[in-house]
Amino acid sequence: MKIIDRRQFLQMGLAAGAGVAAATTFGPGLARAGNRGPAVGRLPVRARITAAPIAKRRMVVLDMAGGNDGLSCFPPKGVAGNTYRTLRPRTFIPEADMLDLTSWGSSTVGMHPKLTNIHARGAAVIQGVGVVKPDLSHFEMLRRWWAGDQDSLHNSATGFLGRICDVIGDPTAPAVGLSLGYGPSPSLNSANVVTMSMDPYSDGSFPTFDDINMHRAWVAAWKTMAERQSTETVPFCSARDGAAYAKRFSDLATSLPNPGGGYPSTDLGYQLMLAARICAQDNGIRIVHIPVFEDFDTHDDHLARHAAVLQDIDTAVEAFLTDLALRGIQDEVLLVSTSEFGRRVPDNESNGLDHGAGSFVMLMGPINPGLYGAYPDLSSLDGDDNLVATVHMNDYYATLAEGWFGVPASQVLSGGTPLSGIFTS
Amino acid sequence: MPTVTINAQVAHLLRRTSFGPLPGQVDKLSKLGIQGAIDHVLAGSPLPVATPDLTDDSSDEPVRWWLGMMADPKAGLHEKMTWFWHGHLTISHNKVFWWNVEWPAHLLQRQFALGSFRQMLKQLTISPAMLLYLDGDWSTVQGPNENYARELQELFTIGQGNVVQDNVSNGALALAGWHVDWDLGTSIFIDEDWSRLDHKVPFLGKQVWRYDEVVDAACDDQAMPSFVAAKIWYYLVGITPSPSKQATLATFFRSHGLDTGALVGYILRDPVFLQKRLNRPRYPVEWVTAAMAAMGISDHRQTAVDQLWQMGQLPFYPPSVAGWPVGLRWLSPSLALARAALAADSIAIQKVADAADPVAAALHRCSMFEVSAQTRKALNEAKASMTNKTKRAAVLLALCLASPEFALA
Repeated sequence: MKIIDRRQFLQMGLAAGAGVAAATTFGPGLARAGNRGPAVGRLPVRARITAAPIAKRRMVVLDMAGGNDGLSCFPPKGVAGNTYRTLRPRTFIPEADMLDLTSWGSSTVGMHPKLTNIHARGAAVIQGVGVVKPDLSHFEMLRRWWAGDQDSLHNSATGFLGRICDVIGDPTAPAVGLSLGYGPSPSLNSANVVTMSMDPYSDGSFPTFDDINMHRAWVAAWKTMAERQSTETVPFCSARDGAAYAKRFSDLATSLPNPGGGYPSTDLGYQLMLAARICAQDNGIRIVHIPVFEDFDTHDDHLARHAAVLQDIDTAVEAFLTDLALRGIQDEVLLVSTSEFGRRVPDNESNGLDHGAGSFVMLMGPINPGLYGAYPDLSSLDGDDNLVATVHMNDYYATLAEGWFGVPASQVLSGGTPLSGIFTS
Repeated sequence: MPTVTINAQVAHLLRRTSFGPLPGQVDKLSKLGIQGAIDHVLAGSPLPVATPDLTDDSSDEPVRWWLGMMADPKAGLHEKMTWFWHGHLTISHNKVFWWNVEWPAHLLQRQFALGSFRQMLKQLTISPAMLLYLDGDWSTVQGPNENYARELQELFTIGQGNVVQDNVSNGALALAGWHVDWDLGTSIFIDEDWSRLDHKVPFLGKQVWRYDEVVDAACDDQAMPSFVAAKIWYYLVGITPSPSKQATLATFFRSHGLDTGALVGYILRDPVFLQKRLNRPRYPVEWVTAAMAAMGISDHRQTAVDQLWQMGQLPFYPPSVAGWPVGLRWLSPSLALARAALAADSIAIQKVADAADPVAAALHRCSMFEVSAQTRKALNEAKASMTNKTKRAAVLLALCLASPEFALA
C-alpha cells in the first residue's frame, strides 16, 4: 500500500528519536480544572454503558487505511462457513479457533481469535459495509471514504468528519477535529471550524528556539503578529487568525491531563494514549481521527500478518477503553473503525488477499453489542469476486452523524439512512 | 493609495512566476523596471532536465529532484507553469507507483508547459501513467471504464457544470482499446472489434471515435477555453476573473490556438496582475522553496520533502484527481504550526546580524518590500528585546518567514 509506505518511511525517521522524547515530555500533566486524570483504584465493573448527552459526546475514528479484511474479523460458520473455506483454502480461520458470538446473539458468525478483549467487552459490528459501485484502488476509495462521497460524484473540498465538526463544533475552540498523524487528514477538512493535526510522538508544544531569550522574543512577537487587524484584507486576517489558533492549540496540547497506563508500545498505543488525554479535557475537540499505521494490505501471508495487526488493535483498544473508564468518560466517547475496502474473497496463491469491496466495521463504547446489517452473501459475489455491500457507506456514516451526534444525515451526506438500535440511551 | 515601489512589484512578479523570490533576485531584476522585468520573465527559458534515478518506486528521489529544480535560481515561468499543469492534469504516484511511466508524463507537461494545450492533452491521454491513473488501462468497448472520460471533461477541459452522462458514456467508448504493457511500460492500442469502437458516436456535439477525436472535441467545445483560461488567470492573478474578463480570456486563448505561453503573456501584461498583490496564500511548494532559500538551506532536499508532506503538498502526490485545492485553507492553524516549525530552525544570516538596521536586513533577505504596520511592530518588539546580534538575527529571520506577508503570494 503506497500511502502507508510513505507514512512508514517518515515514521521510522520520526519514531526513532521520538519514542524517547515522548517518554520525557509526557511528564507530569498540568493539574487544571476540567482535566480528568486517570483515577487510581479498581476498574469499574464492566456493564452496559449509557451514552452521555449529545453535547458531551466525542468520537475517535480508527482509520484503517490499506483495506482491512472484515471477513477474517468476523468469519462465517455453518453452511456459509463451508463456502468460506472453499473460497479461502489457504487463509481461512478454523471454526474451532473462532471466538463465539452466541452472547452477542449470533450462532452463524464467529470472531477472529486475536480479538479477545474486544470480544469480552462487546462491540457493535456492522456487516457488509461498502459502496454501490466499488473501485479497487486504495487512492480512489480512501478519497471517497474521507470525503463521504460514496458514489464518487462530488469533488468536495470538505471531508465527512470535517462537515460534522462544522455542524457540532464551537468556532472559537482551538480545534474541533484533530488527526493524530503526520499532516492534516482530508477527512477533517472543514469550512467553519478549526481542525488540526498533531504528531502523536510530539508533545504538541509550540515550535521555538532552545535559547530562552530567543524563545521569549519569538513567542511574544508571534502573538503580536497574530493579532487580527480589522482594517486588513481577508487573506491577512486569515493568516493572523491561523497563527493565533496555532498558538492556542499548542497551549491546549501542552495542558492535557496525564497519560494513562497499560498501553502497548506501538504506534496505535501512543495514538490512543494521546486520544484519551484529549477526550478527558473540556477543550472543544469532538472528533479525533487516528490513521492506523499497521499494514492491512495483506496481498501475501495474510493469516499471520493480519493476526499480528489485530492483536495490536485488540491490546491498544483495551487499554484505551480501560483508560476512559478510569477517567469516568466511557459514556462520552465512541470508538469506531473505517477502512476503504475489505479484501477479495478467494485467496491468492501467495496466501494473501487482493483488494476487495464490502467489509465490516466496529463501534465500541456506549453501544449495544451485536451484529447489525445483513451478513454478506458469500455465494453471490460481484464480478470481481468481492462481497456485495449490504450496508452502504452513507448508511454507516448516517448512523454516526445522526445516531451519535444528532446531526441529520442530510446536512453532511448525500443520502443515507442510519441503522437503529446501536447506541445505548 | 500609497505608491508601490518597484521592488514590491518585482517581488510580486517573482512570487507568481517562480518559486522565489530568492535572496538578491529582486534587486537584480528591479533595474529593468517593471515592464522590463515582465519581459525578462516571459523571455526566460526552461531549465535543462537531467533524469533522476527512477529505479526505486518506494524512493522519493524524483520528488527531491523536482524540489531542486524549483529551488534553482534560474527556475522561472516555465517551471511555474509545469507545476500548474501537474496540479491540473493530475497523476499521482500514490496510485500509479511506477516512476518509469510517470516520468515521461512529467516530461510532456514540461514540454508543453507554455505550449499547445491540445497537443499536451492528446499525448497525456494515452500516456501509460494517465491510462493507469484514470483507469484507461484495459478499458474496452465491451467493458468501458468511464473514469477518464468523466475527468477529461469535468476537471481537464470544460468544467463540472457542463458534463452530461451521455458524453461520459460515449467518451468512454471512444477512448476504449488501450492498455499498458507491464514489461515495457508503453501504451498499446488493440485494434480489434472486442476492444475498440467500430463506429463513431456522438460526443460534445461531434461524431467521434479514437482518443484524438475525443480530445479535439473537448478542446473545441466552447466551454473549454473559458474554463481553463479562468483557472490559469486565478493561478497567476489570485482572483476569479469577472465574467467579461473570462470571456475575453477565452476568446484570446481560442484565437491563439490554445497556446498557454501566449495566454500567460497576455495575463501578466494585464494591469490587474500588478494590482493583486498578497491576495492569495503562498502555496506550500512556493513557501518552502522561498523560505529555505532565505534560510540558506536550499540544498537540504529531504527537509523540503518532509516539510511539504507535513504541509500537505508534496509534488507527485496530489490529494485527488482534482489536484490541490485553492483558497484560504492553506492559512489554517495546522499550516501555521508547520511553517513555525521550519522558521524556528532559522540561524543567523551574517548580513542580517551585521546590519545597522537588522529588521530592514531581515525583510530584505526575505524579499518583503510591502510590510504591514502590525508585522513591523512585531519585528521591532523582537529587535528591542534582544541584544545579542546573532541570536537577534535568527529570530528576526524566523519572524519574517512566519509573517502573514510571507505566507501570502
